[in-house]
Amino acid sequence: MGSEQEPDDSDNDGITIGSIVLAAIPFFALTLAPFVANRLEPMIFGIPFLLAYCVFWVLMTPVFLFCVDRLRKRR
Amino acid sequence: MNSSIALLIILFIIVGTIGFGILGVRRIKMNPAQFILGGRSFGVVFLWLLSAGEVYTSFTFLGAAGWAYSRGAPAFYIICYLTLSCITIFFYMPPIWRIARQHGLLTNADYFAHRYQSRALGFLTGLVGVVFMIPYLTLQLTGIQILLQIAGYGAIDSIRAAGVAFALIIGFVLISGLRGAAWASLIKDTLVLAGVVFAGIVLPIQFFGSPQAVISKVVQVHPNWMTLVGPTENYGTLWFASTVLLSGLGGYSWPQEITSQLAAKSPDTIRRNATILPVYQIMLLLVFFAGFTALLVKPGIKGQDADQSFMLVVQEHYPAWLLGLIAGAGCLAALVPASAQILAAASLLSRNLFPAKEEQLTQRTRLWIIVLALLAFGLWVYNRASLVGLLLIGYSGITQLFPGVVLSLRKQPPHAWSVATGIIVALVLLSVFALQGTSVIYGAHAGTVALAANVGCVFLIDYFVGARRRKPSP
Repeated sequence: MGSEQEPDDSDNDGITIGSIVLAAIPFFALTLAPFVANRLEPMIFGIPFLLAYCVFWVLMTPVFLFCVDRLRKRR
Repeated sequence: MNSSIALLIILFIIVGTIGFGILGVRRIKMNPAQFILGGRSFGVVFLWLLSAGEVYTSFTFLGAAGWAYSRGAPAFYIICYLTLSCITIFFYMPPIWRIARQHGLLTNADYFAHRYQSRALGFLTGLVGVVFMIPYLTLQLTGIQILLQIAGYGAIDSIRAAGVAFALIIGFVLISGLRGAAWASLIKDTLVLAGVVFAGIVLPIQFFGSPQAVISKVVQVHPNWMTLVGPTENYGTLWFASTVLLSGLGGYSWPQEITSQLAAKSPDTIRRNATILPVYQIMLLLVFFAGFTALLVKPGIKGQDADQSFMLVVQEHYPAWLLGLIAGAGCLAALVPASAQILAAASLLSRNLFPAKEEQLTQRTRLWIIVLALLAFGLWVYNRASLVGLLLIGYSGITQLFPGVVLSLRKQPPHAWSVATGIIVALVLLSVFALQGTSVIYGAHAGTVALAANVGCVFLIDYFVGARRRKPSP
């Protein structure tokens, strides 16, 4: 990808409402973790549910941000 | 005997890392943009090293385990907030990078001064950055002291030893600037990763069979350890959500974090780094396991000493050379971020608070590094206890710069006065909370209350100031 050398100078980086909504999903999933996932059971791979939920969304964040980047580049 | 083996290994690690860092920059000619920003040339790997290097400090290494030991589930906030930071910088950092490069801006205060056309706002934000950086620096010193104390088996003066380690790293940053710090992060991250794998996987397996077994043991002994208490209690659910939000938004308001992003080669580098950085959080999971293991193996450590928990287990049950390796990794986790922090704070002083001429900038920044180092060390030696309290204010304080950064990107940014008033009102509120000893309000982190007041103030004042500004003159 040649974009590494020449930064694109578009006004808003191709960010749309759609991409903000997409990125907001892991953002709020993590912020609201204690209200939706404050449980011990079910344990996932022996990890308490609250911790497993946080780890899951942390690992999903790169996936979401990757999709936002794809959306951005398509424009 | 034991103490000299462990301490020699630590010394070797620190000196080796410094040598490696200096080697990495030996052909680079130092000008201000090179010294402070590494010449704005960092690709994904270097940027990742630097930003991961600055985020994973001795607080992560010792503090996260300490919280898992002393508090349990509230510690999980650490894994969440750094991810939130990555999501937000993905959007707002690329445009800031472009403006900064176009106009040759080097610090976050430069950015405020330029974007809001106000030297005074640049001064204010620079001052906020320096003032709140000092407690953060002293925290790193406490981290080093804990590690050297444990590695010295009580045989050495750990305060003096911490001073020596600190002096070494200050000398290093004086020579090598930001690029050297990024090189040093390479060794630091490798060693810290090894140390964390040992503490989070090997320790649990040797004592209990597996990390999962540690968790089920902890649940047996402390049934409520893995979940949060109700919304209105301290460290309950509302505290968790508000702290994740506050620290997540403010994570990249620290001067050294903004500097690290401005050092990127292109906006794409920033976005890629933000995309992959969350994966690194998984390291924290292992740190939690280490803290939980220590809770079972060595229960009964109280208060601030919980930060020493898993290091004490290593000291008691493992040979000195291994203790030296892990403590050495921990020392780097304090020293390398401290070098980038002190560099960022010193450049605020030389650029924004007491502006130096361009050709003197590098020398002047070096001078301020020495002044800040002496100041931080002096404050730390004379008053170590209360500074931990100051750090809690530190995060709340630095986040107050966040609204001004994001609002500056609007087509019609608010007036400089509105932003300044918002910051000042929030800081006054925080000082009042601090004097009263309030850290939690109705279950929420007190910093979020100040942040809300800050944002409210910006919009309210801007409604009046902005209206007058837009009115055609009679």
